[in-house]
Amino acid sequence: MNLNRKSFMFDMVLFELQDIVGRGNVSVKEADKLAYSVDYYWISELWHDRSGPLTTADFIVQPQSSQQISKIMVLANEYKLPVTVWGGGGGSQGGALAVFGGIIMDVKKMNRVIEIDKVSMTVEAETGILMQNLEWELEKHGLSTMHIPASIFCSTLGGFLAHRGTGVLSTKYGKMEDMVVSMEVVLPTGEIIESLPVNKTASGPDLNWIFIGSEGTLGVITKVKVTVKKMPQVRKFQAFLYKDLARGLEAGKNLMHEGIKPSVIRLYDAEETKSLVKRVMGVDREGAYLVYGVEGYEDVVELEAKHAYKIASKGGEDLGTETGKLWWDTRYKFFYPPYYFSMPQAFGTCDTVATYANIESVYWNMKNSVAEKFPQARFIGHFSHWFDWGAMLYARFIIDNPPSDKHQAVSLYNDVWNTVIRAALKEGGVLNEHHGIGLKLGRLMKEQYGPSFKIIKDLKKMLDPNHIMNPGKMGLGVR
Amino acid sequence: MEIEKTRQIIKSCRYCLMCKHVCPSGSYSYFESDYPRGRALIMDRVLEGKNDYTKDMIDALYNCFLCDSCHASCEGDWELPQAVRQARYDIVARDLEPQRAKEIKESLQNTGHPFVGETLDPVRISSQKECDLLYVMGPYIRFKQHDIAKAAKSIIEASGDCFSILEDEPDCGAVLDMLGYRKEAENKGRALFNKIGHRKPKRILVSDPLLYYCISSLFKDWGLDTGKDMAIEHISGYVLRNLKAGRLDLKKFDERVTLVDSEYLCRFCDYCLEPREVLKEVCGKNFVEMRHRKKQMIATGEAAFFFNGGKVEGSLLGKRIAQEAEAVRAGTAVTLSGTAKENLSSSFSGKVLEFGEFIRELIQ
Repeated sequence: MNLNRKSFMFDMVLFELQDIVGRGNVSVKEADKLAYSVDYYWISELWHDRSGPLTTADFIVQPQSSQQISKIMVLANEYKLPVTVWGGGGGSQGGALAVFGGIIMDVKKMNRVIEIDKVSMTVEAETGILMQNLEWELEKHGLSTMHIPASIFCSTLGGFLAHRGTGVLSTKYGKMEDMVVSMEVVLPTGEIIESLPVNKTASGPDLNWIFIGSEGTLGVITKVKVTVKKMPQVRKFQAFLYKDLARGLEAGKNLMHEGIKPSVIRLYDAEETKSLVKRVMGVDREGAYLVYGVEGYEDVVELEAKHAYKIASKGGEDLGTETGKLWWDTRYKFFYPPYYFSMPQAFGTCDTVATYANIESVYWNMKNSVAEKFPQARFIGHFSHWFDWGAMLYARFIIDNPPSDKHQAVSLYNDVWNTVIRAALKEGGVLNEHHGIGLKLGRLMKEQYGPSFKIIKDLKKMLDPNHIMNPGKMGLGVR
Repeated sequence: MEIEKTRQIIKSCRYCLMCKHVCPSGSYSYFESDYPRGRALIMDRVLEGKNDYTKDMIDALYNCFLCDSCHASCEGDWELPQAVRQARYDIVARDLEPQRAKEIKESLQNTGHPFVGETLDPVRISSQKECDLLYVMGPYIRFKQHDIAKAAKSIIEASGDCFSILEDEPDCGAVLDMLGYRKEAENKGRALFNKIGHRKPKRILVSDPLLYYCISSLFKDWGLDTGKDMAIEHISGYVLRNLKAGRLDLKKFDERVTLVDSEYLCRFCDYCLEPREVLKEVCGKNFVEMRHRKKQMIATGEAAFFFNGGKVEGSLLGKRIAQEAEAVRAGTAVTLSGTAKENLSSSFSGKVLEFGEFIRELIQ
């Protein structure tokens, strides 16, 4: 579907795009096409690694305002050109790849902090801002969104909304989506709309929720107002070791159900404790490593920590506050080379979420299904986001030596994914908790939703009649 | 290929995005090829023979400001700028470098300064012939930032030292090396080294971070040993030493002041302490640190020679530093290079002074 570069139509469209955003804000350079052909999705990395033809956009466009985005949408509809929104390019699901060519709309120049409202404790910003840059702005005022995932360095505010991101402190402060007060969206047909100024209304469905998690298939979120918090006076961490996962899960559940509000609970299974926790943190123990944190006023934290300790120590070995703090200090290190997995390994993060009643069986069914069908694969996992009703499993499979033939490698990769996801679904899990669907899991959307997927498909048809927005993603196909 | 030497760095960085937030060239254009991962992807393609260097790719590799911000923030300690420098050697070896690089090289070769097309006179400062202290300026100060040299002169004289300068001081080769002209750089460095050696100073004093880096680091790479009897010192270290020895009498500064770190002094040469010790001494509690400082500093653009073949808009680089300086309510920002001063001046609401210039104002 790429435009023929040598045809005059290419130049015609290029001219129109330049007219909208300015000449310097459109790139058709090969260097950029290369750089935008890979995100954090393993298959895009594989294709690059194994010399496959690159999946490239025709035009990379950098709008600087909602009005410019609106004009780009109108133009894209006129020429039926695909539009794929690109934030930081840190997505692991292939959601930002222009798999059918057309326009990549890189929104990073829309990065203004519009207003920090200390009265209402909100910040309004353009969504192209890198999350860490937003945090640094807030830090000047002693504030934080408290959305601080490992991808904070490379992902945008809008990117986190697009796939419903979760930060490391989500257990206390919620997911990105829980922080949204209001937003501005440019619809696929070019209209610029705003959701209501606040979200706790009784005026019908909340429009925010149509666009949160829509992964650039239903419009472009251009501005958002999110809640902010004051930085806590103290943060305290404590680590425990459990003989097995079940005891660790029990401790985590009890921490959530006994009136404590931990900022974080992270429980590593025995395999991940033995491998990554050891490698990154130097904690060399057999069993399931658990760390939790509490934060706020010092005296309140002392009290919470005391009660939390009592709860978590049942069946657990005290590894101390220092080992807990060590995890906090090294939490990002897990995601840097050489600690993170890399080519030629095949690897995937199959995060899922389920109720406490189901989460352990989800884990075991996923793990066993991989072990049975793919003996060459390792399966590790940790539980990192805890809710009142259940927990999120950040499971990963790793195959050290996938086939060298890229087509066979893709086939194997997708086979593992289908197997592990179906195992999760069977036990009450879902496709994903915070990485989104993208290209990677789109084929499984109808399987997960069943007949209700029609609602999402119809919504897509209605909002994006020419199907220009991010085709091929979220199981919504192409026009 | 020279980039073969940095294979492991390239392989580690080609899919990693974790330094995106600190890259100044990325946040200059916001195009992905101008971020570290984009460059690593390009080098990986070339390394594996999947692509030859194209003009676009060469531009992207020359758009890197070699500030080491990506490396400074990397938990894995991957030094991508090192790979970029190797790539530039390869590009030059194949005569593929951007026209602007060629022009800068020619300017350095013909005039001794990198300011293409400009007719500039070197600063004139009086000095003595046979002193133990030799003040070496570097082309930026010698040809453009004259006031920095004059400030250094005032400081040296106030400290009671005799100093010499070099007639027709040769360029040290740092800029040429960064642009990929390794051989020419080394030749330049050798010329400077010989000229310095001829004078037999006990101490070489510099104000320019790039020059400090060149003499203390690149000279070693080129096998040019200044020896144990010839110490190199940055003006901040000189001031600190003389302050402590009671040879330099400075007034106290009673307004809020902050320090803008230098990538080439602090990051590359680990020379972070001396300027802040001086500021603490003369400013006391009025010296305030910015959020990003020392090795986590925001790059000032000391090696930002051009971007996509054209002029670098310095104010875009200075803007974030200015915001941080304002966040700590500093009325004065002290920089360690003329480039940093220039880049910050248009964005910062307060006063911007290069270190030596700031100290000169305090001489009793």
